[in-house]
Amino acid sequence: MAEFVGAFGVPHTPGFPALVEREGQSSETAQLYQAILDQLLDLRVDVLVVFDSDHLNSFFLDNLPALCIPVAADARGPNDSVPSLPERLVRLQPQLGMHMVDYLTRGQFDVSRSHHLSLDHSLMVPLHFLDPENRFQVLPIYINGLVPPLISSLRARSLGEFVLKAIAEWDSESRVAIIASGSFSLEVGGPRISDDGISGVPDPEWVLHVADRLKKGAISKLIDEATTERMLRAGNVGGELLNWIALLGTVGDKPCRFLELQTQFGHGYASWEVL
Amino acid sequence: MGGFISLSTYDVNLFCHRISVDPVFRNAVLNGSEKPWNESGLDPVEIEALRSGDVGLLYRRGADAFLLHQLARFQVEGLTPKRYAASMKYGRVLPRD
Repeated sequence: MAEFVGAFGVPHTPGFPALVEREGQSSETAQLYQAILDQLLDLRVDVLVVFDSDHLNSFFLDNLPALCIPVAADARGPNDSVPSLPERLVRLQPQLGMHMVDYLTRGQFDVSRSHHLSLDHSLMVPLHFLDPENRFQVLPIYINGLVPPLISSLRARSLGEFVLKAIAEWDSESRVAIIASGSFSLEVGGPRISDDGISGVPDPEWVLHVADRLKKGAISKLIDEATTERMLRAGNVGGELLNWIALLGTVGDKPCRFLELQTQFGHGYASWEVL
Repeated sequence: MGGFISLSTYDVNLFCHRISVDPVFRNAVLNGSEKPWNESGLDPVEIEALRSGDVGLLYRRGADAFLLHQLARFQVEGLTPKRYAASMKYGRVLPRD
């Protein structure tokens, strides 16, 4: 059976590929992603399962899933023209995708599936830094984090718990790491943006609060606090926190081993030891 | 984005979505073609708001803020981040630079 070997959280800021191209590998952002990549390599990971929120690029309002899992063999990205982020073909993991759809549906999750899709920066930025050599197979698990109504935090944690069980029952020798993609708090394009830019603006107080909960492994408290209203008060993409909460469903209430914040961007880089 | 997205703003959201993911459509808009506008299904108020940079009006009518920001990301009709913010935050439509 497949083995769950590590859990990580990373941001997907679309400006980061260009920033690192400008500032080089010694930049803080490059170093933080590299720290995660080093752990993935040490763990000899085969498959990345990524809790992710599409930004109305891969999916649109004509048919917007609350939860979606690709069952395609591969997919191209980015589809949203991100500077310094070259287009590439990503190897997906359709066997695990179909197993996951089946397992989650049996577990009362009404998850949709996609046989054909393209990928936006929310997945491609993490892969740019964490899988520059196309080494891993990837299975995104999409959670709607942008357009209310959102699933509840409690539901997101339960999703994570079921994903963990599905991996444990997947008939494969693969070593699987789970990643949460996204910020804790960010307003993009809404009334809380800065006067002269369209870059995301975070709610630093909420960012630090979430970080404190992660450091202490205080998941139940975070779930109580992270209502849809509170997450969206932290920004119109504040629902990306659901990806992190789903990840917490896979690691339980253990504190994270490593957490580095970039509070000015509303996010952090984290890892949990699971073996 | 304070709640459910209004059906009446669907075409505005679709226009912004296509700016992000459809380079042919985006280039046609950026190159000044009238075809994307004429075929957009947008009503005259929405077209005027989009072309003048009055994203604040569109937001108040229910358009999605994340999608609207794509207009400034690609500077559609000269919509700079500063002009975008003036409309979104303060309801002020600034002239094109």
